[in-house]
Amino acid sequence: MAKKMDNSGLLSIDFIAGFTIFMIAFIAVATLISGLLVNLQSKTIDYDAVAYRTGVILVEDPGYGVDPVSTNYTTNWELIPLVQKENILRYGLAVSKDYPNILSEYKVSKFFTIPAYSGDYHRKVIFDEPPILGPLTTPLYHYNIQLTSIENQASPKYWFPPVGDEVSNITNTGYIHRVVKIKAPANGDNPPMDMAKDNTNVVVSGIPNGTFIVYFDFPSYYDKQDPIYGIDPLTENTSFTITNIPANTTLQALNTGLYIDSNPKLGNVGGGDTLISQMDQGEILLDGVLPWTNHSSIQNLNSIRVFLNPEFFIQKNIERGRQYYIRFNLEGSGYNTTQDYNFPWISTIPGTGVSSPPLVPADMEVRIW
Amino acid sequence: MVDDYGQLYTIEGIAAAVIMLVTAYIMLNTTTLYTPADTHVIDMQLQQLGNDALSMMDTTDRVIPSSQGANQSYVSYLSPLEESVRYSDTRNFNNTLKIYANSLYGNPNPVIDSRPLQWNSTIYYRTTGDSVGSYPFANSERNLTGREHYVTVTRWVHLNETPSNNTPGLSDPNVIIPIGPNGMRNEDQVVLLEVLLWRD
Repeated sequence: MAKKMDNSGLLSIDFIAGFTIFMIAFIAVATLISGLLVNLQSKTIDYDAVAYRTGVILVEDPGYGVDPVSTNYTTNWELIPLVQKENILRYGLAVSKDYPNILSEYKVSKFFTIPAYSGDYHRKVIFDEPPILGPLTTPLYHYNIQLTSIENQASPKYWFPPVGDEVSNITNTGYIHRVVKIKAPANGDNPPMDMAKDNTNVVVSGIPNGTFIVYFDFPSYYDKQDPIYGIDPLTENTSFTITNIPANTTLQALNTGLYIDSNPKLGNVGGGDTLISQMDQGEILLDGVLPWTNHSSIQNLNSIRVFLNPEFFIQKNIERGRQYYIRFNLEGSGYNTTQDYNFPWISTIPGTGVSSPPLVPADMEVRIW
Repeated sequence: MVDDYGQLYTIEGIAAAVIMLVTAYIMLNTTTLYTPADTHVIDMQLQQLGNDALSMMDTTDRVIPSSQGANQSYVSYLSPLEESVRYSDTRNFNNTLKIYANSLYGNPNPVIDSRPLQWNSTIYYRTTGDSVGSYPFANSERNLTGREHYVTVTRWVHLNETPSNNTPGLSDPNVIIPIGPNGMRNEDQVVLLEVLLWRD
């Protein structure tokens, strides 16, 4: 019986030809794939992105935290006491979110100089660590952050030791550079309040002669507050210097301290104002260097420098809407008038008035690897 | 009887293979578009630096108190950038930008990215005839040849017709808008400063 020939179940030469071509193509593509994926293994791109993000957080954001006293959210993380630093949620150095790239000197100095903070930077600046630390969770990246003012590179006005890890192999790091300006606080140090030259003796009722008053008009600081040029003793250091104190003058502890002006409408300080606090040790430097210990009476001073950090005012529960003054009780034959100065000190000598010092340009570098 | 039931012919096999190849080729080429190229990051870093530098140049360094006491108010200086544009002070512009943008050059702290940056800038403004005019502004030592791989950063600069305050150090604060080439308007206006920035 002649079997009818058909091709069922046969592997034809055509199929082999086609399948071979397909296999060649497939193998060719498969070998190419690994090369194509090289671009996806983008370590440095990743580093650059994290560096960029870190830079933005630091220079465009004022930070974030919970005020341990009021339990309100605050951008003044730098004022949260160190023992409660868990209340800080994010570090940022800008004075305000409305002014990117303008950094607060107080935030900057705390960020770069307090070692206790630096353990938190992975969780609160780089954000490369799970919020709950366990034995197996380690940060993904190394980082190095530095900030230097740029106008005088030989001796920069601001220079901080870099925070983070030491950069070992610089070619394999992601980076970002940000040009910023640092806002230093207003001060009355340079020029100082000169008791000989800027003599603005006033007669103040109720205040005995031999009184030197530095007046803090808080409402004027906060009514039209300008975060980048204004005066803000509640978030910045405050300092002033009194020079050329007449000879034979004694600084008495009695009545020297911070007062609240109970009746500012009179336009002047008067008797009956409440002493809030004596000046603490270390806040007053005699002759520029020696701390005023034990509040003892000191004779024959040449200069007094007062340095107050924001915590000083905060601890005294200073209200933004009230006027305060610091009063020095100077007794002796050399000084028997009363002088009344505003802070910031504006000299009567034209051209030497003190306001906010100029913003200082600086360069921030963030490296991630 | 020979029929073609179930038969794959050579020509069809080849055609199918070609189609598959083409498909694979197109597909792979399409996916490569998704991979970001490193050069964009480098451009981004330069652009960020340029934007920061212009923005900081446009920030007044200080204000001076105009009165003392409870109603203290401040008079602000023109920003260095406003001052440069207003008085066509390209030297000042170049010096400031050089410090801000090239700050790491010669920095004692070791960093790569030693960057003598070069720039070339143009100012665009609306003319009295409502068209857009431009004139070249400051540029660095090196001229733009056109072969550079540059990034563009821009900044709107406000020009007061007459500044509301006396800018210290300048002889005549009441100079009307300075340059005014080719039909620049003599009034309050905002001009666009465009800076091309490249690594030398």
